[in-house]
Amino acid sequence: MELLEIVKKTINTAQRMGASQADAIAMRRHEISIHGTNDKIGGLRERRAESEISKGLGVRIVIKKSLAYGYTTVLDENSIIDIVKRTVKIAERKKPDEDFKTLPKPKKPPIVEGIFDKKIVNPPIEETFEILRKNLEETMEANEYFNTVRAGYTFIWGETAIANTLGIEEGYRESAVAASIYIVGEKNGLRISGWESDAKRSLNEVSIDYCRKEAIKYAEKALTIAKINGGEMTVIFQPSALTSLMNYAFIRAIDAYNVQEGKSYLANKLGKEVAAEKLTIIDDGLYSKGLRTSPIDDEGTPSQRTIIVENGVLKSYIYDSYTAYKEGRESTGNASRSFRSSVTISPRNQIVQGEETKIDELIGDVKEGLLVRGVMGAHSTNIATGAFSIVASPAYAIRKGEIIGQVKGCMIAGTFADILKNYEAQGDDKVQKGFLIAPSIRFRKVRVTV
Amino acid sequence: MKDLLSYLTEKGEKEGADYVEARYQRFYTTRIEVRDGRVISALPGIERGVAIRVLYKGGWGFATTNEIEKETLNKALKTAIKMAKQSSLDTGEVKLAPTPIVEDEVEIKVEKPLEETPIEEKIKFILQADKSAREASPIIKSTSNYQDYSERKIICTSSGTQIEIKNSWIFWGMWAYASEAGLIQSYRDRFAMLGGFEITEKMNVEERSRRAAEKSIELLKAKPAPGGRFTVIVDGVLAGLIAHEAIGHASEADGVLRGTSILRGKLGERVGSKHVTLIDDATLAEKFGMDFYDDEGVKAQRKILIQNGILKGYLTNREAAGKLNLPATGNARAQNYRYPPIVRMTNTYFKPGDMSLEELLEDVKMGIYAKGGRGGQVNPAEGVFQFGAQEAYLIKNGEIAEHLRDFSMSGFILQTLKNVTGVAKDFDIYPSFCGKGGQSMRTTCGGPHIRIEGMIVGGKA
Repeated sequence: MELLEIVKKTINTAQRMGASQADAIAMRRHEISIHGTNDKIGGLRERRAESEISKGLGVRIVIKKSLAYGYTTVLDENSIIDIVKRTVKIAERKKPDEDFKTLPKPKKPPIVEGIFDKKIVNPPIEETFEILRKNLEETMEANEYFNTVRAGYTFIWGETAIANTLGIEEGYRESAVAASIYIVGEKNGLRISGWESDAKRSLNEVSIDYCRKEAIKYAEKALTIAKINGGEMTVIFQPSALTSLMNYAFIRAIDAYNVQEGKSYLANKLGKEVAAEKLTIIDDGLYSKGLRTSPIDDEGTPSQRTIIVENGVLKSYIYDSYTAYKEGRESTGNASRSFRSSVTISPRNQIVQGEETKIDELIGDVKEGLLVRGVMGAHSTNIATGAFSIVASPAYAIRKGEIIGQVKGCMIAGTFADILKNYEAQGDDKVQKGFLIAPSIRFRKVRVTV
Repeated sequence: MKDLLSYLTEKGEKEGADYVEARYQRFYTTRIEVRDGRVISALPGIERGVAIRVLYKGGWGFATTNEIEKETLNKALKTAIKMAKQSSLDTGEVKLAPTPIVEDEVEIKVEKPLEETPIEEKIKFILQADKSAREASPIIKSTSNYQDYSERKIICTSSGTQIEIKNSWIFWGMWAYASEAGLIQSYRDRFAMLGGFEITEKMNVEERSRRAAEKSIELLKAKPAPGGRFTVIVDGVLAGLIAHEAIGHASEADGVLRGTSILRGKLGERVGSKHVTLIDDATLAEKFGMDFYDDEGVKAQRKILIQNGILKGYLTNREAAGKLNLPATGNARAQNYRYPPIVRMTNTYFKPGDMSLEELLEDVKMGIYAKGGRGGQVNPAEGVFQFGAQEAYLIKNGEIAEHLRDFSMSGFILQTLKNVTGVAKDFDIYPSFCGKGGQSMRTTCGGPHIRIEGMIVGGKA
């Protein structure tokens, strides 16, 4: 059975069994990953390849104002009837939720481009092993202090279909491919690492060369130790570091569930200045070739482009249909779920726009500062206050506009509200890392402890 | 099902594989989320799937599917073999550590099976806990989570091992948020045990929720933490986080083998002060990290990793054990049928010493007393780790003083363990889900109060 047929059948079954409203999401996913490790000291050459084929169906039942979810990975007719029956039973027994208005109404979805590459359906396995071998060897040879190199490729493609009893019936296909290189080295007892990854929608766009060059560059810079004094200083966050920090310190703060419950430091701040005037942040579900681009979100609402922060002023939060209808507004297309889970809110492609300058100048203008490539501990951010206290690792010292070496064991503390206000400029090295599309970004007056 | 799995392992062997492992799993799970007394979602689910892992001349192949028909399983086997053959073209030798062939059926004792317990009872359980948090004060908001899980798993290997495992557990977690005059502070608690629904009676979640609410209110009056280097005394829960993040991950032998652990080549060497003894014990009854066998069919064990500061062993799977000439410790665990087993911790803890908390505090002129974990992270290759605490207090002249908030600290694995200058006699152990390689695994970690010199504290003040 095709996925769209399955979800239609599911909602029809639900209606027959007494659901006031219902929706269903079905997914099929194919994943192949290939990884290799070369290790000089132990003489290890390890290769492993993994494949996953999975499918599943999630259903949401509304009876009057009670909502319930259920899921199954067995998609024959009896299993569908069984899961609907069990979910209806839960909905019947649950207390009604007075804030629930309706599931989303159908609207014509936009056409999006570049999210499915059919070459990924049958990925070039033999060639990939060969590419990995070459990259593992070349990376190892790049520097005498490198001991271990890991490299990998992951190919994913899948189909999603969604239907609800108000008339939504949509489906789409998508793909992604990711490459990565990771280096571990040691020089006179100093342990260092360097890595880079790249993820794209299509096979020809992903670049393991980029991963190798960047990983080597930062692993080599890490071979020198630099000292900084700490205190308030200029800090440049690279996109990989910013993604982890923003995921916990910003995305959760604009999530309408947290805002409506008063748990976010950005609650009641709409229309107010929350960031530097130069800064604009956009949540874009339509961004060409974006990793989070699709025609619809996970409850069938058409994807859209939502301005979150414009010239420093907070313009919108991100919504699913439940939180949107509760406020009497429309969903921003940020509903997110797998067939296994209930609906939550996730960012689409979040684009940071600001004052762009050449990356060399972004770093070159810094007399004394820190370049941060990764952070640890962002998950302990207090979203109610935006307060965070994280380890900057790997981090590099900048002196007189040059990266002079890595800084070991330094922490950054502050609130993300202050970080947003202390935005200064950004580079021209824009990449997508997870949900975030951003270049390196420079902030002033960040508290660093060594 | 056993016959089908044996058929697959035999067929794989016939096609030239050196080792084939087939793992079937059926699990039932329920997740319930409650916010401020409202059930946001109550989601039961059932899954079945098969994982096939193949070793062919040093190359590994793995295939998983939740389409369980003989035809799709044959296809998955074929894929795994093909992948292993491709891998083998460019790989070194892999010799699996020898382990006894086991035929066994084991199960967690369950009085009230989760699958037969009506969902209303589960909702009632979590709503009562959630309510007791908000009853503590009108300024409290709360989020509570419940997850249960019962599984039947069969592991068959081409060596002849056939094990059937029935497992069952419940996890509960909550966040309390206290707000006053524009300031919001939060406190979380979690608890988990192995068993059927009857264990909810032992979980004390109402008391725990009320306490979390009170703690979040106390935090409203706390001051921002200072930054700098301090002597830190941590409670058993935080000591557990150090055991897990700072040393546990680095002692996983897959990382040692690949050169991504700072503990490579350090067996028999001093890695901590004489106060440090670290244990990983998969046999602790009812504890959230407990196993009977791991997913390679190796019996679960108690292992001493560090004894009085000397590194005694690593956590291994059969591959790493074979390569490093060490015993297989039964630590190859997979989240579920969708994943291959990788080296994981189980119940990891520091062994208690003989001091009291007062004696640990006594010599500290200026330091920090930190309690309760807020998650942590480690880079085992470089040896840097980080973790957050729920509560912290300044220590002045041996006395606990001002209350601090938003406290997080960092250190280096080898330095930190060498800077442990005192270990108390108390003990606490705490459940958590540990993430590694995209897999989430049930574990616990714990220990007594311990004192560490020279920790880096990231603070604003």
